Amino acid sequence: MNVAPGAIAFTDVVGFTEFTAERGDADALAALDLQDQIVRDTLPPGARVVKELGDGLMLWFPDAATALRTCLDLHHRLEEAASDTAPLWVRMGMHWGCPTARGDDLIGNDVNLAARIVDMAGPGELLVSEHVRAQITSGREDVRFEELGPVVMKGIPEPVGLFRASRD
Amino acid sequence: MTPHKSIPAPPGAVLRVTSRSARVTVTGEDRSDIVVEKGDEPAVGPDGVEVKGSGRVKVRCPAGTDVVVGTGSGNVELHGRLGDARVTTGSGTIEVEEVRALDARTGSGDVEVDECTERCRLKTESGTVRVGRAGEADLATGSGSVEAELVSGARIKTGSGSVELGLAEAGGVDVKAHSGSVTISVPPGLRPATSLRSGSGKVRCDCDEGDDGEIRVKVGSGSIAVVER
Repeated sequence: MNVAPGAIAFTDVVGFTEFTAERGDADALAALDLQDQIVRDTLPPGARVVKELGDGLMLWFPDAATALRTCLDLHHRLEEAASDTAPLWVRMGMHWGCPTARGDDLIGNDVNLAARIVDMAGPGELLVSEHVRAQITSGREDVRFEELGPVVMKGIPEPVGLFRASRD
Repeated sequence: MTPHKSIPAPPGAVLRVTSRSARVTVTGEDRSDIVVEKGDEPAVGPDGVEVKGSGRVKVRCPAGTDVVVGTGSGNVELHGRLGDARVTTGSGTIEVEEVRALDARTGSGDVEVDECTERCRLKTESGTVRVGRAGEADLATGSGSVEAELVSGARIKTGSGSVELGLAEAGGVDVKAHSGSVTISVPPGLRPATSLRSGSGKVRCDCDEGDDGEIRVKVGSGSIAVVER
């Protein structure tokens, strides 16, 4: 088994279904293209887009501090780029773990957990598991972690401590 | 009848209630102990007092206690007066009577808050949000309406659903909606800076332009109205 320890992040565009219904497929496509471009421009060396999931993305980073910093930067850039034709209300969820590689894909319980975390986030938010926070031993000074508490998530056996991460 | 389980409330302790699928009720009232009327034995840990249970959990605690509630699929009710509250439920409704600050999230239920004196952050995927009085409100719904009677400021994002907001004083308001009407009522005589944009809907503002706070609304389709109370 080929494990790939790292931070797994999922992104999701909030309200994308409503936006597509309202504005049509062409605007929806333009919004996704813009998101793709911003994400690929922002990802640091070593990190990668694992796969696209409709309006969302699955990302992988080799270390948690870089992942956290990059996702917060992404929020900032997506917010700046948001416009009438591309209202990028993106939310993100992140977990640190040891997913298993399956070709270019990653699978496993840690991936499933990261996917559940994003469901709890609101537009413009980054939520991270306690495992991500524990990995970040330095460079926390400019990041604020607000505890949401132990969160019970569908299909995940034990409650997981979640934090809302934001720039101070 | 199952006897109640009680422990003295450690000073400043956070009450943490978790359950996979229980309906959870926490009541903050004039008392000095934590009483579990329904649920497992309370345990004092490094992070506070922990209560777990399944089916039904009912806890009473001192007024002003900070609480953290996490349940997978049950409704959550916070009664009486509590401190900082954080609530997550996968698919239940959340009802809150009076808290100092609040972060409440549900996947597919309604959220109702009577009073939150400081920041009030609420999120639901497909339910409605209703707030009585709050400080700064940060509200997000996927496809439900938002109603906030009196807040000092607000950031609201909704996919589809109407927004009715009452502004208590000069403050910042930022509303974004893909579709749905937006109505904001302001105190008489308030002269806010405004930026009101609708892709396809009427825009009306009864206030004179000024610098008493800023109201920004952007709607894909739907009317916008800023009116004096």
